[in-house]
Amino acid sequence: MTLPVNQEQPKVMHIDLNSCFASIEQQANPLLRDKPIAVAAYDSPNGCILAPSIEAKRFGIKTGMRVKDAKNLYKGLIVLTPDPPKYRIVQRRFLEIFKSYSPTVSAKSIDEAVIDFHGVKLKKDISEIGIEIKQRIREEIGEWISSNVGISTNRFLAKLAASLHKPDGLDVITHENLIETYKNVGLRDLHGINFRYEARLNSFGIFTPLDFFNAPLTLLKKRVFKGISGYYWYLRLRGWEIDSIDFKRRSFGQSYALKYKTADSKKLYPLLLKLCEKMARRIRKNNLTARGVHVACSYTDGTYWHKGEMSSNALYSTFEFYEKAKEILEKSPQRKSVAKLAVSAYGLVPRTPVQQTLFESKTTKLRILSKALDKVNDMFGEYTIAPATMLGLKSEIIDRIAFGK
Amino acid sequence: MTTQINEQVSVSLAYDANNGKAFPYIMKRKNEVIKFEKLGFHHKVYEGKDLIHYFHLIANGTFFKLRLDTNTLSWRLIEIASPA
Repeated sequence: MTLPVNQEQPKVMHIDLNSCFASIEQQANPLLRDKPIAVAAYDSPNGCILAPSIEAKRFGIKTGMRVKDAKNLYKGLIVLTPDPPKYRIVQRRFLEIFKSYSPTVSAKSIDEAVIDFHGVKLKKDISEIGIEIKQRIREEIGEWISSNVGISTNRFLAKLAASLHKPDGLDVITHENLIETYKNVGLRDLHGINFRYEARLNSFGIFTPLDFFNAPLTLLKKRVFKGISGYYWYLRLRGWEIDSIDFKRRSFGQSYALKYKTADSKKLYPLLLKLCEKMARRIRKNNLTARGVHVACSYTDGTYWHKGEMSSNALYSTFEFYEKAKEILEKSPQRKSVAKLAVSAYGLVPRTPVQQTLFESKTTKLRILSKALDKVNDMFGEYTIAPATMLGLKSEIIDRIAFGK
Repeated sequence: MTTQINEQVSVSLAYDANNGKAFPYIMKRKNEVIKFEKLGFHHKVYEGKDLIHYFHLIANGTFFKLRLDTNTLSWRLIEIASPA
């Protein structure tokens, strides 16, 4: 079976903000503009770079680098710690702009979104709308905020188009220039192809996106991907949409890269509790409960341990999540110095109202208490009331960009 | 170099009906009067039930971050950064 390339008019737009966190900091503080800056989780030498500015990228500074390594590339690098409220406000503002063009807007991350124009009567050419959106971002959010726009017939190609000319580019991929586009990119430039998939494709004689595009459906389906994924790739590469489903959230999690690495459980448990409190607040805010808890530790020696367990009861209060997470953490076979601690809850189930009785169980009391504490913290600020075990942790596990709050 | 401060200051805020924007144009801090040259960014957040406005401004080659508590209508200078 051969399928032609989708020849319809492109109606999918992918927008991403250039060097998002760094650009927002340069917008807020004009004295930082045109300078190599980076936003890092911590501004200490081992802090991880989250977002280098466009100017810093010219020196080879990349996301994921340590601050000390980045400063080896450019000694005068200005390093800032994140200010998540600013980034969330920017995300809210750009989503409002996008929703003024189409009701079908999907936020893919804090700095990326997709607008689907199917079913929308366009008053002008979609490229002109792209230019207008870039202009509105500068006018309504900040003159220093630039973005890349990609337009095509499906989300996959729209994202590829957005990556072609960074920063501040606008590109359209249609059936007319699709082959030419594939000639000028590599396999790992395609969203969804990491080095493992690349190796797998290479083992079947597929070394370039053009090879990938020309590969027969039977090869992709029966041998390379051994399943329906092969068919989806075949469609995707030809501009047909199969990625328009937004999946429901399946878990909530929090993680923390420890400033002071430790193997001491007396120091780890309060951190675990704070992670559970943050996670549980988000679960309760979504009116959910969870049946599974997963704990993961990354150690300073580079090794990793993780374990997940289901509970017989639906978990709701911070205390319930913490008790389960602590029980799991106690099962870690080795007591090594922890560099990063993570907890997540899965098996999400909508919360069902609990029938109140004269003689309330401990679980019911905990749930009622949790809701009351949430109301106090919503009204007076996070951690106005918090477990005593968390005393002294105000500066630990500070606000970071989880996607939403 | 960024310095975190939490200091009550006096601020004059101007509102321009033409563009619908508010701009803190003067701050008096101790005995110094600072005239702001540019507003980099303004945003608001809820801290509990209180609506707080943050203004990011520059004057005389220095960056200032101001906090307006709409509950008490008081201003605080919370951050200063001078060029590296």
